[in-house]
Formats: sequence, structure tokens, C-alpha cells
Amino acid sequence: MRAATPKRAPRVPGTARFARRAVAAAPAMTIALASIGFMLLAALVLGPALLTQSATAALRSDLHAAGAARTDAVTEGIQGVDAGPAPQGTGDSPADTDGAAGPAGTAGAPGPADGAPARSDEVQAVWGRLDSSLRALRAEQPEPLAGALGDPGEALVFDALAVAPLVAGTPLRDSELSLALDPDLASDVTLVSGELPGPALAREPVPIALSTAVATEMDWPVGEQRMLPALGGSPIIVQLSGIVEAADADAPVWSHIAETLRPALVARSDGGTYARGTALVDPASLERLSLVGPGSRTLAWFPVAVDRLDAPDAELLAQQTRAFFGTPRELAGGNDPRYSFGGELPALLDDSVAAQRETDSFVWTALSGPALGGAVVLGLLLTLLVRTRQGALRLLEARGASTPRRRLVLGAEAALAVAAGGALGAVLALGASWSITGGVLIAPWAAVTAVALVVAVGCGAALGHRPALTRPRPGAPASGGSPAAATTRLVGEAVLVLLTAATVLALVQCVPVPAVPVLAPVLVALTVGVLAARALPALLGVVRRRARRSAGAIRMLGSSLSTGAYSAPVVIGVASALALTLFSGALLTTSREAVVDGAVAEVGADLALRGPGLTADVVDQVAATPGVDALAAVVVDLPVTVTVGAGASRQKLRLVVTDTAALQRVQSGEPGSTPVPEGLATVGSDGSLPVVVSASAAEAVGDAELSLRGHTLEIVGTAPDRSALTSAGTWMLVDSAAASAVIGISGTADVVLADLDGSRPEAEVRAELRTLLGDDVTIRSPTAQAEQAFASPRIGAEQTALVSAVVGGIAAAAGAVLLAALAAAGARRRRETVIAALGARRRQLSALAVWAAAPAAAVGTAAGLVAGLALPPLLIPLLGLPSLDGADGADGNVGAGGDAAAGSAAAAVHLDSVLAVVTVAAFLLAAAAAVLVTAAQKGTPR
Amino acid sequence: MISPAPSRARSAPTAVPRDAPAVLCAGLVRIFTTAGVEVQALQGLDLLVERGELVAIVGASGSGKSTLLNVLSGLDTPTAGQVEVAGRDVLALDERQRVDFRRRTVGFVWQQTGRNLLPYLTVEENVAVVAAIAGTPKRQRAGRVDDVVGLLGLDGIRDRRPAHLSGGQQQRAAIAVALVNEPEVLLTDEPTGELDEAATADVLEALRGVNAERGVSTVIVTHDAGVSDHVGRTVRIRDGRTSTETLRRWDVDAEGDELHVAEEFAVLDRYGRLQLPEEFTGALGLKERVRLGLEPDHIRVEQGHERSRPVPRRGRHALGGEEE
Repeated sequence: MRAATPKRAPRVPGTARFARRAVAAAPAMTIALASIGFMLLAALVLGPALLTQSATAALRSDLHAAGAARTDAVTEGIQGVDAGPAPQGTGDSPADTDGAAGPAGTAGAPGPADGAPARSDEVQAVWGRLDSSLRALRAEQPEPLAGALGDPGEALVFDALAVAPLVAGTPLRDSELSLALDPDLASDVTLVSGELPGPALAREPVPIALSTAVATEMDWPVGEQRMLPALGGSPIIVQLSGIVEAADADAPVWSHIAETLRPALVARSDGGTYARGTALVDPASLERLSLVGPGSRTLAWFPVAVDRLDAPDAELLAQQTRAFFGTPRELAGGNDPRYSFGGELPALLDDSVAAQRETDSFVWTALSGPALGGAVVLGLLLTLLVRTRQGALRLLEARGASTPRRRLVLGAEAALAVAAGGALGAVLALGASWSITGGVLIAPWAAVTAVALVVAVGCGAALGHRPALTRPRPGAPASGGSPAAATTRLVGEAVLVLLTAATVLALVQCVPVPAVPVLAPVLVALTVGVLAARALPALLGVVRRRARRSAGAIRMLGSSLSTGAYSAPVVIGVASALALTLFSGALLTTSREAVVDGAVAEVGADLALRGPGLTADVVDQVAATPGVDALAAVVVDLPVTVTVGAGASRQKLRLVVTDTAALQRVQSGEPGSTPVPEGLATVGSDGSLPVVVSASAAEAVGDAELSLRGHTLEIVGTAPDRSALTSAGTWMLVDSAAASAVIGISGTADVVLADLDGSRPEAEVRAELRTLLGDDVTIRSPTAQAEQAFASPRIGAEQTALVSAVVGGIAAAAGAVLLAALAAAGARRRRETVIAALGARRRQLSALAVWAAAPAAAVGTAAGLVAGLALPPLLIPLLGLPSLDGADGADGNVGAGGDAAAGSAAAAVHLDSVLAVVTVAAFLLAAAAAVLVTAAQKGTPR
Repeated sequence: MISPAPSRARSAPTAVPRDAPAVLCAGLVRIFTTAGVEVQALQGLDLLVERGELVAIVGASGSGKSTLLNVLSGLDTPTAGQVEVAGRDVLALDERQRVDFRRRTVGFVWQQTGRNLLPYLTVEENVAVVAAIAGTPKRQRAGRVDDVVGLLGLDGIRDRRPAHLSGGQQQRAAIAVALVNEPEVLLTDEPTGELDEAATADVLEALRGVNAERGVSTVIVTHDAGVSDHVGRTVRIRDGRTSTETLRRWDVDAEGDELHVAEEFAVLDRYGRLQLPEEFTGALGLKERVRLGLEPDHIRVEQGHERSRPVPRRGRHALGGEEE
């Protein structure tokens, strides 16, 4: 024996050091886990930030597209403006905050508020109190509403009056003119010629300013005086003192003081038009201008600062706006007792939120495929980690390390690996988020998910380690199988199937359970994967029985190798990832087709022309334009009152008249075309007039007998409310031949629908028609409508999600195949050693390796393909996505032909065959590559 | 010399009689079932190892010796029978007691060095980490590590990792690891199976030294009959049962020379079963039925189809011992 000679205290590695040494000795799985953590945490940090940025951009895009006239909070008064002394303490204006009076010389007139353009003392004396009270009102609102409301605007607009020449008989362009007082006139316009209108003095013509377009249309030179016949008083003489242009043509003021920058051309019953415009007058001359007449509107508005809105605040903002609109308020400076603000902002926000929910739902559905595949990959990685550390843990177990301690070591390693990789990913993602979005967003759910992920990985690794002897059972023979594991798997699969069935049932029954539209495809795809994994042994059994009858040894051997322990995860991972990717592609394609169909239905033809001046001659010129095949002109679009029943009640409807045969030709085969039943153009023998009514109109009149101007109306069909023929929702369509009996028809059309023959590009035809019709006629086409819709940031987000789903799904599927092969590598090496010793060649060994890996990948791909093709027609109609439902007043995706029920019809499910083929090919390629990598033979060739 | 073992950091959970045998197996049965096929690895094995003994268990492949060692170490559970190690009923241990049993009652050395040592720790760290696992206080840990490192002659290589050690060194390090918590029984499974002759002798000498110096009961399971030369008792296992035992001792002949004397005994189990050596049954043509006869001082065994005849007696050899 040798004597012991103590030298120094031995170094005992602690748990962390021990784990570090273990990782250093075999780092592959730890690095792989860290990489998974890196990617997931980066996605969890960057994903919500990008999604929120996209949602915010989409929200702003929606509101910008709607325009200030629809988004701004507007109120009107009819009793004018009170130019009395300013109230105290009512607002955030300097006058209120510092208690001082307004600018010198204007006792009681508050000065301009912070950020407001400077106003003269005289203007401030008239408008200051109203402006201050508006600012105070804004300051009272909660956030985010207060922040969303911009600086208030005020104006007073008189009703339009016909313009008459000063000298009777002087020829003038038919026109009507409104006078408007804009307190910020000086800053809102720039002078083109003449001078800004000065104060309106007694017995002097009222100086006015017109925009260049209005002055040109009205043919009104600077200095010329014209007359406005005031109601009940002397006519007002106005003199054009100057021509102006808007300092900012997009400023909200021009949405509220309408027809200032551009005149409206209004059709007359005789086929001609008259111009209607607004003239700006000195805003301080309110008292003098009251002589114009009693018809005036005091306008006040809060422009919505669209670019300050954020998507996460949209729902709250809609609630606050509704509450704001629903409460009448007193406004100092206004003579009306109460002012109620209104606008379309809440509805626009609701629409945007609903559209965003649909996009979010799509994004989650698309990403669920790679997520499922990733979960399989993560599970395989944990399995491999446990196996890698198994030897050391068994040794420690034999040396007396308790099970919790061993599991702690393993679980801590896995959790720390994911956490470390995740921390790095999160930091980099934060930087990327900052540089891309200009901010950082840590979504609470993302933080919870990250923590849950780390905990789940740690627990998964810890529980993955099994002690060599779990619990001695004296007298119980050990067996090679694990009934407990089999039972656990069976129970888990049963729970999954039940959960899937419940989810699908909830969809069928339209039970409003949150997240079901996202969960349903995920669960169904997962169930298909699980069932395919269950079917794999049976399928291979058939192959094996046939192989045993064949002469090939490799085939016989290979068919016995394919049901390894890691086949099931491969089948589940590949099948669910492919199925969900195909489903996502079909969902996106269907959604896009719905947008296109909606655009076609909304426009009603290849082109829709709307505006003044569509006289019979002009329509003939349009019809003669090269490239135009056929036209259908709506020659009447007027409100009428029909008698319901025996004169008991009346119902207001919109009467729409067109040549229905021409309409049928123009809309032939187009989605959302207006139904034209047989006999619509023929007056009945009893003189009854056949009509097609909108769904809302049909609901309003019921089964009662209808008559219009003594003519009985016979309803021969119903159509969706939304129609390209009229903007109204409650309408009835009468053929032009039959309508002459009840209404006079002028030659001027309100709407002209044009069918193109395809001989020329649409853009060329549009350009030519633009030249022909001028800027006052709007020309719409489904292509342009769809392009506008596709320009939405939401489409970009959905495309990105789909591409991510395809790439992520492919990566996950290939990863599952590779990791499963890696997990089975030990058994494979032993097998190959034996078979090689028996004389197998390298090619045969490779064939065996392919046999071991390929069936699971092939079955997974086949199951994913079947599920991916079957899921869209089964599930998409059940998801209830707003964009896919042609609900009343929705995107106009209406049923074609025949009677339409209540104005809605579900969109047909579309599967882009190219996208599907590319997706499946990419999966097959990735799986084949992964299988071939696993089959590559190294070492001594034979 | 080895310093006295420090007191235990924690007392054993249950009181154990100090005079209990190191190993006591009675009627041990272990049946493996794989794919519906039953394999009886142990078929009612009896074994008794006294404290302080150095015993080799020898048997051919598949005889059940490794299964026996796994059962003794608590890594496997017998199908039936009784197992006590250092007075502890191995089958009655709960999880905590089993952990304590592995920490303090038994130490293991396996054939594969990869199973004995963690490849990423040095020799010293391998030893120390096992002491740490057992909860040995830091003050005592250094002494214990130095103690066993010195005992096994590993001072010069204590900072090396297993990959930089020879096979013999690795197994000596494994013995050090197994001993650091001062087990009462040292179980070794083919400790020399992967070693050359010189390294084998080195390791077996180390085991004998440990047994002699520390009094640690040591069981060496091996298929190598040469190991028998290094132990006091060799138990041979055949078909899952103990068949013979060989006792060795030193004797002095008439000329005063020391002789290494080995006596082989057949083992009669508690059911009265006895395995006859093949050379005996072959020499006498005993097969299938045999006749037994009770003589005043022995039992006679003869061919079943012949009349009884005298059995040659071989002096003091019970069944065929020989002098060396």
C-alpha cells in the first residue's frame, strides 16, 4: 500500500461547474437547445413588435383612406357664434391658464392657444371663446382619446344661394355660392391674386375670396361683384377681392368647409349642370354677415391625429369616442344649448380592429404549423440531451445522487441553455426592434410564453431522465415494454381527439369561444398527425408482409426498421407542419380572392363611371371608346315613397332605373352581379311593374302589396343590399323600358357600368376616358380597388406570415427527420456493424438507412398533404372570418344570380394550385434531403 | 497507512446490526421477460459473504453473475428471494434509503471505465464529486479524497482526466471513487475485463490491498478464473445458482515450505440441491437418474441402472481438491 499524502483541498465541481463540464464534453444538444431558445425568444420579442407596427400602420392606412371628413369628430350648431366675453377657467388656452385677458385691445377675448395659428384681435374676439371651450373639452377627455384629437377647428358656413348677376340679363355660369367664415383664414390660404377679403362693412359689398378652381368654374374675375338673394331681406352683394389656394390642401378645414377648393358640379334635371362653391369671407365680420340669412351652420371639429394612433389603443379609443359622441355638451362661444359630436371614427376603428383580428388570426394559424413542428423538434432535442447525459447520470445515480438532484442538474442545464440562447436572442431582437420600429414592445403574453418555455424545457429534460430503477416491486417480473408510457400516450391522444372534436363542434355551432378559429386547424392537423403515426405500424406491416415474400433482403430488413421509437414524432411533426402550411396558403388565397371578388362586386363591372355630366351624348362617346364592349347606365337613382298594403303605410325606397338587359350583358359572369330575373323588363298585363328589391327593402315591405304612383309593383327578385348601381341599401330596380310609366327619365346617367372587350389594356381605356370625361367623373375599376386593398400593411403581414410558415414548417420537418435519425444513430451503427459483417455493401447499408427514415417522412408528408387539402373546404367556411362573409353591407362578396338571401353568401374556398405544389415540393425536397443526409455512409467503403 | 475513517456525516436511516453478513442472498430468482419470452437469469441462488471477506464470483457468460451484482447494488430488483447487503434488506429500501444505501453501504466498479468515471472530470474531481454527493462535509472531504487517492497510488495522476490514463489507472481511480464514501461492501463487475495481464494484476492487488487494509468486504464478479488466485474464496455460478465454492489458504508442508492450498466444495442449497462437477459425472457416466445412498458419514451417488458400488475416497478432499 502507498501512503496517502494530502496536498491540497480537492476541487469539487458545483452543480453549475459540473453542468458546464458536461456541456463542454458534449455540447451539441445544449447548443441546439440554446439555438432554439435564441430563435424563439427573438421571435417572441420581435414578432409582437412587428405585428403591432404592422397593425398600427394598417389602422392609420384605414383611417387615412377614409379621409378626414369621416374620421374627424364634428359638431354643428344652428344658432351661430356668441362673440361675448371669454369665460374663465374653461380651457387650456393661455387666457385660461394664466388668468390674463386676451391680446391688448380686445377685452374679454382670449388669446390664441398654444399651437394654434395666430389670429388677429378682431378674429379672436369673435372665435376665441369657442376655441377655448373646445380645447378645454379636449383636455377633459381621457387618453388615448385626448391625444388622438388634434387642435380644434371652427367655422361658420351659410347655406348656398344662387348667384345672380349684378345687372339683370348678364350671362353667368349657373352657380350657387356659400359664404364661410374660417377664423384661421389668414393661415389656411395663400393669395394667388387680389387680396384677402377685408371686413364686411355696412352698405358695402361683402368682399370674398374664391379658390382658383371655383373662380374658374364660375368664371368670376377678381373685382367683379355679383348678387346673392338673401332670404327675407335685401340681396347681398359680394365682390371677389382675391383668388386663393390652400396652404395645405389636405388640412381638415377643407373637409369641413366643403366645396371651397373645388366646386361641385350638380346635375340639373334638364341634363345640364350648375356649379356650387364656397367663398371665404372675413372671419371677424360675423355680425355684418348675419344679414345673409338664417340658414347657417356653426361647425366645430376635432381632427383625428391619425399618425398618433396606435393599434393597441384602437378598441379603447372606439369606446371612448362613442362615449364622447354620446354626450351632448355645452360650448362657451356657441349659441346652441348643447352640441353633440359625431363622426364615423368608432365604426372605422371597429372595422379596422375586426380586419386586424382576422389578420392576427391568419398569422397565428400560419405560424402554428412551424410551432407544432418546432415543438416536435424541441422534444427530440430534449430526448437527445437526456440520452447524451444518461451515462453520467446513471453513474451519479449509482454513486448515490438522488433522483431530484440528477433531474435538477439535467433540467437546469436545459433551462439555462434555452434561457441563455433566449437572452441573447431577446437582446438582439430588442436592438432589431428598436432599429426597425423605433421602439421596443415586450408583450405580456410573450414574456409569459418565454418563461413558460424555459420552465417547460427544464421540466421536460428533468422528467425525461428516468432512474435505472424507479421503484422495486418484489415479485413483479420486469418486462421489456413500458405499459405506463403506452397508456399515457393513449390517454393523451384520446384527450387530443376529444379536444379537437369539441373545437370543431364549437365552430359548427358558432359558439363564441376565444381562439377557436386559430386552435381548430392546429388541433385538427395535430390529430391527423397523431392518427397517421398510429397508422404507420399497420401500413408498414403490410409492406413488411409483402417484403417477406420478396427476394430482396434489404427490403425485408428495411421494412422492419421503420417503426422505431422516433417515427411517431417525425410523422406528427411533418404531417401537422405541412397540413397547416397548406391550410394557411388556402386561407390566404381565399381571403385574397374574396378581396378581388368584393372589388368586382363593389364596382359592378370592368369600369364604373360616376359623376356629373354623364349625358346621353357623353355615354354614347364612352360606348364608342375603343376597348369598351358594352355599357349599362343607371339613368334614375332617386328617393321615392311606395305605398305598402292598402295605403296603410309608406316606405321610402331608392328607385334605380337601368336597361336591365344591358346590365345583364355588362355583369355577365361577374361575382356580385345584380340578378335580372325573367320578365323584369316587361310590364304585366294588369299594368303591374316588375321590380327587383334589395334584401333590406324586401324585409321592410314584407309580403304586402306595393304600389308607386298608382302602379302596382311586383317583386320578381331580391338582391344583396350592396350594389354597384346605387349607394343606398334599401332600393328597388326597375327596367328603363318599364319605368317610363312611373317616372320621367332624363338622358343623364348617375352611374355608367362598362364592360371591356379586352382588346386594350384597362389603363389605356381609363386614361382615354379620363381625357373624355375630365376630373369630375370618378372612374373605378376592380383592379384598382383590389390593388388599393392589397396595398394595406395587413396584406404584407399575412404574406410574411405565410412565407415564415412555409420556411419554418420545412425547417421543422427536416429538423424532425434529422433529429430522429440522430436519436436512432446508436442502434443504426450497431445494426450496420452486424449487417456489414454479414457482407452488406455500402449501397445496401445506405438503402437500409433510407428504409429506416423514409417511411415516417413519407407517411407524414402524405398525411399532411391529405389534411392540408381537406382542411380548407371543411374549416374555412366555419371560421366566420369577416372578409370571407358577404354579410350585409360588408365587402360586397355577394351571391351571383337568383334570389339572394338576406344579402350574404360565404366566399368559395380557393386553393392556389401553384402555391400548394410549391409547398408540397419544398417539403418533399427538404424531407428527402434530410433522409439522404441520414443515409450518407461514412467510413470504410465496402 | 490509511488514516481512520472519519465519522459519517449523517447516520444511516435505519439501525443495522454490525455482525450481519456483508452479503446474504437466499433463493434469489430473477426472470427477464422480453417480447413475451422469459429468461431465468437467477434460479434460486444462495450466497453468503461474511464481513471483511474478499470473494470472487466466477461464471460463464449468461450464468447470472452480472444480474446478481445489479441486484446486490440495488440497480435491479429480483423476481423473488431475499437480499441483504451489510444487514440491509435491499428489497425493503424506499427511495431515500436506496440513495443512502448507494452512498454509504456499497461501492461499485464496473468493467467499462466509461461507466466508472466522468470523462470531463479529473481523477481528483471524480473522487471528490462522489464525496460531495454523499454530503460529506468539506473539512472531511479533502482528507477522504487524499486518503483514497493515496491508497490507490493515484497521487501523481490526480489532475488527469480519464482519457489520459491507462486502463489500469482508470480502474484504480474507479476503485478510489467507489471507496471515498467508505462503503461496507465493494462490488466489482469484471474490473479487469478490459485490461492486460499486468494491469489486471495491478488492479487485483489494489482490491486485495483495500480489503486487507480497510476490511471492506469485496465481491469481484468475473468470468476470469485467474482472478481466483487473488481472493480467499471463489464462488462459481452455473445456470443462475451457486454450484461450487473454492476456499484458499496458505499452508506449510512437511519441509516447511508455504503452500497455497485450494479446496473446492459443492454447495448444498437450502432445498437440498447440489450440483455435481462435470468431471465427476463424466468420469462415472452419471446422467439422468442416479442412485443415492445414505452411508454413516456420507451420501453415496451411483449410476441409476447399476448396483451400488464403493465410491473412491480422496483423502481430505471433499469433491476433488488438490494440493498446489
